[in-house]
Amino acid sequence: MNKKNVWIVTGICLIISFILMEVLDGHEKSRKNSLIENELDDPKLYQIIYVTQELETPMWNSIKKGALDTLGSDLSDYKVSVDFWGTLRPNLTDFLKTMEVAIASNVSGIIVQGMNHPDFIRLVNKATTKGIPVMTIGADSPESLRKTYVGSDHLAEGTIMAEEAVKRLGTSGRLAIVSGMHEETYQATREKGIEQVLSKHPDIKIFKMERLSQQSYATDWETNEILNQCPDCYTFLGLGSETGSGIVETIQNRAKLEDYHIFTFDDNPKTMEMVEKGLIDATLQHKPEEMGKMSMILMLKWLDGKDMPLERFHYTPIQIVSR
Amino acid sequence: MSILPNTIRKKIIVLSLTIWIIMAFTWLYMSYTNQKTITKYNDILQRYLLIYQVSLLSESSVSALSQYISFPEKGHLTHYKSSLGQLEKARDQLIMLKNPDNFMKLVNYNNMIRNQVHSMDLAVLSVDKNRHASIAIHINEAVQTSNFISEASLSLISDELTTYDEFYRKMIKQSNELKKIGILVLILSSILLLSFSYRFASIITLPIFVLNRAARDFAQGNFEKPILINTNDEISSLAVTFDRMRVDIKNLIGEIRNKALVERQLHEHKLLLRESELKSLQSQINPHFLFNTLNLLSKMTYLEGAKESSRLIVSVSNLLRHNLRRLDISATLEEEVKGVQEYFQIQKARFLGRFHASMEMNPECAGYEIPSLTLQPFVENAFIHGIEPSRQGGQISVRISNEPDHVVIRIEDDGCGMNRDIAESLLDETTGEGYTGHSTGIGIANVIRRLRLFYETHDVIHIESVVGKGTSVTLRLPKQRRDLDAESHDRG
Repeated sequence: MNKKNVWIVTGICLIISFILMEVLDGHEKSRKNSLIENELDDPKLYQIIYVTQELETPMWNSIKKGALDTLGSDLSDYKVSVDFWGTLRPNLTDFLKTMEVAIASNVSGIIVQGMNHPDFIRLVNKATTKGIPVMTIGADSPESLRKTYVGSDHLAEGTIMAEEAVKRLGTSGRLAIVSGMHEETYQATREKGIEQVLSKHPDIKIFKMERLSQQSYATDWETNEILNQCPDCYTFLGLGSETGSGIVETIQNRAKLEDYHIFTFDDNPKTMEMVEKGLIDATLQHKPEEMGKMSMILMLKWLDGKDMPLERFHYTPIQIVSR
Repeated sequence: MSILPNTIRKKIIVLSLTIWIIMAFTWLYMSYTNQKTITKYNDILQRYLLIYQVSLLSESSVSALSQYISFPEKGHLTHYKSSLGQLEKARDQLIMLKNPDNFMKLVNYNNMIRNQVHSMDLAVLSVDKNRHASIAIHINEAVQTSNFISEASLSLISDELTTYDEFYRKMIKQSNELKKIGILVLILSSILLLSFSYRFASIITLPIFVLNRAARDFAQGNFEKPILINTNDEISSLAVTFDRMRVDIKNLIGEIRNKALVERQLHEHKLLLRESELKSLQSQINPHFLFNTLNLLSKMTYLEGAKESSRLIVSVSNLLRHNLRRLDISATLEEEVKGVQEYFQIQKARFLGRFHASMEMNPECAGYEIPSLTLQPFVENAFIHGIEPSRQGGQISVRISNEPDHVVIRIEDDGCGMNRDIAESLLDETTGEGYTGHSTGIGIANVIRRLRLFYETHDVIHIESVVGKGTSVTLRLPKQRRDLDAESHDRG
């Protein structure tokens, strides 16, 4: 092995190692480059956002389930991403902000729990003008430019419940309406339905607390006041969605519950439990899963450009539940 | 060992190469794993930096726009445009933030930035067209979107942490493990290297030790152990040469020993030869014929009535008998003395009245052994040179005395003596073998030579002589003799 050979071998080794380094480097870079192609701007990707003020509640979880199950089944050629945004407790500012973020993020579609607040309507319209379809779910916002409403028919809710109450009440009496802490938009619609029914029964009078705007009453307080101010009121209608337990407890503290008839409009577990126990006479069961499913199908149809324009309302079934 | 190269140089090169390879691999492995870790960390940092950068640029572009709106100068416009450009560039890189959990968020993030850019563009357009109302609307929109972007940045970062929490913890654990592994690798490769070097160095230097030891053995005169080195390099060829040398030296030493032995034997043979010479000298004479004749003569003269003659012949016969004895047998002093006395008898008869002899011997020396027929030649010599030439005759006395280590025999005559030269030539044994009238035919030289051989000393005889006065020959014979004594006995 002479010197020349040694030098040649060393030189070759060095060259090979340099080449290797370059190749590996280049490989890295090219790998990075190929991904930069606008995956983020893929127009085929649908992002649908559900916005609510009652995240993690049982009703909303059912809506979520309904929506996601739909995704899994017969819509496999869509690339769809679904997210559920909003607040855990009713908070208007955060709720509106979430809407703003969704609009700024240029999502494909927004399905939101509607309200009649002007800021909300403004946002819905802003989204619509930007080309983002908005649908309301659970609660409607009929004055906005939403494409459709999916959920229970609140007017029907009012009428059904009122008729049920009338059955118990008889032809005359006082009907107390408890609004509850949060002024929900559909409460007015429900009330309209109730009034519709009661217009046929002129002897039944509605009693409710006068409410100054922007004021919220605790259900307990409201019930108490009603009991104070209206001693003949033995029939209560809890308009708001969490009024049931408040009414029951307050009455229990003061009088015999059996003398009273209580009707509510929601189907959260506490309420249902009380219906089971007979503390509440009747309540309405909604179909939130159906809402989720229908909303998802409708939104996708819209995004695909099929079945346009949509009907203004897509009502989900409601059912009276009593013991 | 046959796989190793065949010179020490190549072996050392192989050793160096192996060490280099082991070290290189260790270093490469450590570097590689470290590099991987660093790359991972770099990637993570880059992600965070990008998100932060987007947020920052979003804010700065809005504020640049704001400035431009307040002071619509070209400088501000350029500043805004450059911010915008950077923002767009950052947006292009967003895809690298993709992870399994955040894709939609990224899409939204991307769209928000688009939104902000769009609003800002509209604002700039409005500035150009001086539509103040729309300026306000659009800049507000841009500001609001920028705020959303900041919040989304935080949310993205927080999501990163959540998504990669496990991963980060694993990385931290891994880098700790790596430290341990690093130390382990270091220890392992050190052990490997050191043991390998040690073994290899031994392979190279052990033969040198063997050679060294062999050289030391040689120096101490030990040529027996063969040198066994089979490492197939220069040392082993050296060992072969050394071993050959060892064998040669061993053989040479053997030869030398043999030669010495042979020389000793030669020396002994020489001695033996000398003894034979001795014997041959002593057996040149065949007196048996004379003895038999004398016997006859003695009987005849006796029968013829010449009693005196008969007695004389008997003396001669006795003398002859004494002289007939084998020369190779040593005689006792007693026997020699008897021989001398017979001689005296004869010579007395010849030189009636003119010759007087005396013989004295210490009886303790009687059994002392001397070579046969040593006394008589001296006596004869004394007679021939001392008594015969003189008319009055003379006297010869022989005295034998006993000294502790020697027997001293003194033969004195009062004859004519001899001069220094003759005495010395006798002592030198240079006098010829010729017959000089001795009855034994054995010259003094012969006797002296025999004595010297017999006693193996040069200094057995001393001659004092005064011309005209007399001669005295002193023989100092050591009592202790060497091995030749035993041998002579055996042959007897």
